Amino acid sequence: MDQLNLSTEGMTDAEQMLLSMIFSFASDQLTRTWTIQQGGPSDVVIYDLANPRARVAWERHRQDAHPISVVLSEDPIPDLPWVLQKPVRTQHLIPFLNGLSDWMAQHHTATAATAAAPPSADPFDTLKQRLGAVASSRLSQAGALQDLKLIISGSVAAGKSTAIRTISDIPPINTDVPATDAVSFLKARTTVALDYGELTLADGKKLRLYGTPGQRRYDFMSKILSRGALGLVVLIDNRVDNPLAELDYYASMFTDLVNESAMVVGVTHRDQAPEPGLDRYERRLQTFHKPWPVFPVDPRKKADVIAVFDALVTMLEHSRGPYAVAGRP
Amino acid sequence: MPLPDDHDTTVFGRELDSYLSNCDAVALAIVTTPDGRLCAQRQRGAYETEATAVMGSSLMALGDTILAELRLGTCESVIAESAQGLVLFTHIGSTYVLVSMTESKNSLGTLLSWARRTADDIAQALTTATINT
Repeated sequence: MDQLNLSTEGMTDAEQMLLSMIFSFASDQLTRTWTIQQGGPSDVVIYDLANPRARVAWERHRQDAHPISVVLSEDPIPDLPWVLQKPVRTQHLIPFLNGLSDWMAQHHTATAATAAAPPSADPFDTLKQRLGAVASSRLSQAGALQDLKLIISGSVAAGKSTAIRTISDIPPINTDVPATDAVSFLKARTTVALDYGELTLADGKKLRLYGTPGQRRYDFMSKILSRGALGLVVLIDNRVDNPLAELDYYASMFTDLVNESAMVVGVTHRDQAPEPGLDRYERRLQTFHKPWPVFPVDPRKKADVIAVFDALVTMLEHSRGPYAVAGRP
Repeated sequence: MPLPDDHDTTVFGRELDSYLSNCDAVALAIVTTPDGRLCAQRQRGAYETEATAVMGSSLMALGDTILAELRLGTCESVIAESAQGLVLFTHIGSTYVLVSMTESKNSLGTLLSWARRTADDIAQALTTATINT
């Protein structure tokens, strides 16, 4: 499959982040492989007309045959062929990009930028390389004694222990005991202190993965474990009575952490409970005014867990906070 | 895992009463499930018990995990110590956890001895009841 390179003019960090994550995570829904170009030739340029400098650039290049100009606008612009509505939404962006790439294929407009696409790397190795870059940036800013750890938290039986077991490079350490309360209807054993796993990064550093207990009475452990963490993955079990309230709960509990770093939400057990849909999670997340993405996750599938971590790394790479990676916007 | 029934609760109360009457040093004694549910408690003050039971289950599980990782056998007890006193976490068989607290830092030996004896007595009483039924 040919690769299409895309660059942007005037888009916000959050919008660029959304593009990156869709390119990574929803690759199976896209008919072509898309990458965000950080320099060099592009096949498509998205101009946000709300940005004066981007508008000037668009005026200069709008008649060019290549690269294709796409306009990002809050209002419909009838005379232009490729207008992307603001705010950018996942459900709109995927069909838009597929329509654009189909049109380009029909008109043979994909060019040299696509010719030298490197062979695809193992996504797990790529993830570890990117985590290594984030970790190095963190260490250089905070000192070598700082923690390199990620937290996986969320609802009881959402799959936190399973996610760590799926992705850890070492046999995970568990503190599970027989469940004696309502949790026993969902599973026989439950975590009462922590789960622990490790990822060995490309440079040999160890990234520690901590899973928190899911039952509320163990929130004190979540607070202890999350101190100084690099980022947070929250898994929500879609089978619970009010999954969106669970989302609110964890977003509030980890406010300090996510204000300093990043958070990604994974929704599990959607095969057993398809509602609420991801769009309702996205709408709820918008109320926090943070660019936290939400994904469907099967914690038993390595590709799913990698995708969530990949999104978290993307968030950290684009962060303007203390953990921003040097050289990134 | 079955929840404690009336007989179990009676055993807990009787044995904790005996524990406090025999061991002057113990100021608080709690029986909790391995997942942190308070089953019974006796004390000489007004100490927080619910949160202590929950944290006790976490520490006991961590003790089990650490010793298993180091291949040092089965964890019998975990001790948290400060200048003001100490808290001892002890397994009761494989089904419950006994949390004991003292404000006398020099009473570790006494507390260990009586906590072990109390845990064994509770486990024995529960086992006997199970066999009889």
